[in-house]
Amino acid sequence: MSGTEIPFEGVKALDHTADVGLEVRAGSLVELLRRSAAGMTHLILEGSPPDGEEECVVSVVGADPPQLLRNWLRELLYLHEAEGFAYSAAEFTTLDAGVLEAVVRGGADPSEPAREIKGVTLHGLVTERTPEGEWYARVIFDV
Amino acid sequence: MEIRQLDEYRWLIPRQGRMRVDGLIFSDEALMKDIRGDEAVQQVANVAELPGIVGRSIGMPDIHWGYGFAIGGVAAFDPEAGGVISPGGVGYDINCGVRLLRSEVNMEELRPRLSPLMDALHEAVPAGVGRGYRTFVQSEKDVRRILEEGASWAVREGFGTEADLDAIEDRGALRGADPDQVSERAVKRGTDQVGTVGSGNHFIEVGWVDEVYDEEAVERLGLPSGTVTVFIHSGSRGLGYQVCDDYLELMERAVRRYGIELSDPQLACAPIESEEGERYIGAMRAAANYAFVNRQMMAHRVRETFRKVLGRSESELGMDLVYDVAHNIAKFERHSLNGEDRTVCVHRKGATRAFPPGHPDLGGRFQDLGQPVFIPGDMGRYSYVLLGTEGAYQETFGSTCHGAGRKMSRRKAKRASRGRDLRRELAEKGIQIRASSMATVSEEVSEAYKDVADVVGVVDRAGIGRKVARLRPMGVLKG
Repeated sequence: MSGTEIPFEGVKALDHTADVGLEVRAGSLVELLRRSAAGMTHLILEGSPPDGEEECVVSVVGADPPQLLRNWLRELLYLHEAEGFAYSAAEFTTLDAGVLEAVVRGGADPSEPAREIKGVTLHGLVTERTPEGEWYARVIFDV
Repeated sequence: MEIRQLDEYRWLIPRQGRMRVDGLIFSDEALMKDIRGDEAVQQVANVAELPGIVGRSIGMPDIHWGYGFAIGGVAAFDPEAGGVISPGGVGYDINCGVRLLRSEVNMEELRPRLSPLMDALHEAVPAGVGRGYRTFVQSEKDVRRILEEGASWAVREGFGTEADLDAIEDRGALRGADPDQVSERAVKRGTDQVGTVGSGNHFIEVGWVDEVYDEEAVERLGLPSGTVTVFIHSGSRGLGYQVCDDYLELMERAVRRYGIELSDPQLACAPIESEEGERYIGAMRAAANYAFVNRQMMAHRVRETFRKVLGRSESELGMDLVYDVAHNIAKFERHSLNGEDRTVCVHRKGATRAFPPGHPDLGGRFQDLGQPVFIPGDMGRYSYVLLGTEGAYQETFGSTCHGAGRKMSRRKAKRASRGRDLRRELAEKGIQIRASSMATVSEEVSEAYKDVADVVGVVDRAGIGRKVARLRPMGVLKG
């Protein structure tokens, strides 16, 4: 998989034969979650997320960082697919012992989405702290 | 990874590491270069590690890197030997499949009316990733009925005929579907997507028969040279994706509970004979029924649109359903294993059932012919109609390929399309395109795919499918 820059700091789109993926780096898990969400939204919209004013509360659990990241993205994907709510930003109120609670800001898609993401796969899923102390994630989406 | 060439079209991955059975890939030397270029071979081997797998883990010539199973993979599991069911072996788009309508219209007659026809199809059949289409289905209660009854719901509501049901795998309704195992979230997502194309590689394609390989078979199928045809390629939309997603979570827990070792977590699975396995099977069958209805409703809209635009009656148009195949599914079927007849669960992830003449699961019309199989190519070249063979039944659990198979990532395809007028390029080939998003079109550009003629050539010569006719596109509706 070779990486391609997309316009968010620390976020690259990955080449995959049939699907699409993201490689994300950040200084903290909170920032990694934010950047991953922004990256996924960019893949869906092929553009910047809306500067939405709507807010909703997202609450997920995950036994380990990969599961937490995946469940966070799954929840945001569901909000997009079922409610038409596109992620813009998040304030995390809880991120501890496998529990994530966040107030997510966003709004309606600014235009017809460019791509349909069917699911956040487990294939090649990585979320880890590197020996250098930064956070790294890789996630493949089924499209 | 050791791979041994057995003959011109067969490549063996001998049992190694944790593999319980051999892997077998159908390919020629040229296609094998692409196949070796990504993770597909490793994925065939990973599947061979799953509990209760029987025969071989199989790859079709259109195989390419997926998640968990490769796309173009076939594997069968014996419930009595601890065999498993894996949502990753079916895919997010449960019962993604293809149906083909034929007609009494000749391509030369249609050509002058093609542009208004494509405009009208674009208007009549929602394509793309949009939401809020509640024409056929008003409530979640309707969706629950669809999950249980499949295509017969559509026929009863007046959106098709009994003859349609005879030309759908399992008459468009998998027995044992359990709507109670489908989550509220899935039903909610499914409520406004009945009769919609979706995005990605899904499409509606108006085409015509341009080459015939078996005169008798095309006569029987109503596909003589020049006949206008319509392909409909779509699946269970958001409802199916949600079912897969819900059950992957359950299967992750099942993997720990039953101590199953996996090389790829996306292969998460549970024994077929377990509570988790049974729940998924019930939900998957329900989602498959939804997909049959989705394609049925689009076929209804296509027929209606042809009537309006061409000003002909239903009988004058003769738009019969040739057949409807599923290419992302798991089914329980009887197969011979070491001379013994057994019921196994066949996972086809980007592979098509291809039963031979005489198979009891084929309806009367197809008993002496074999099952029709459709292999769409890319939007700029051609597609194929095949028939199932005894060879497929013996070697591949009655399966064959499902498409051209990608060889270029979506991002690479996009880069290859940059600065080009794809609409004009296709128009110069006599193909009109209507699309909700040109971004999708650029990701689906012809050269992103293998030449489907090469793929079909392999299955035909290897005897796991038999070429009947080639179709050319003249109008494509994309999401």
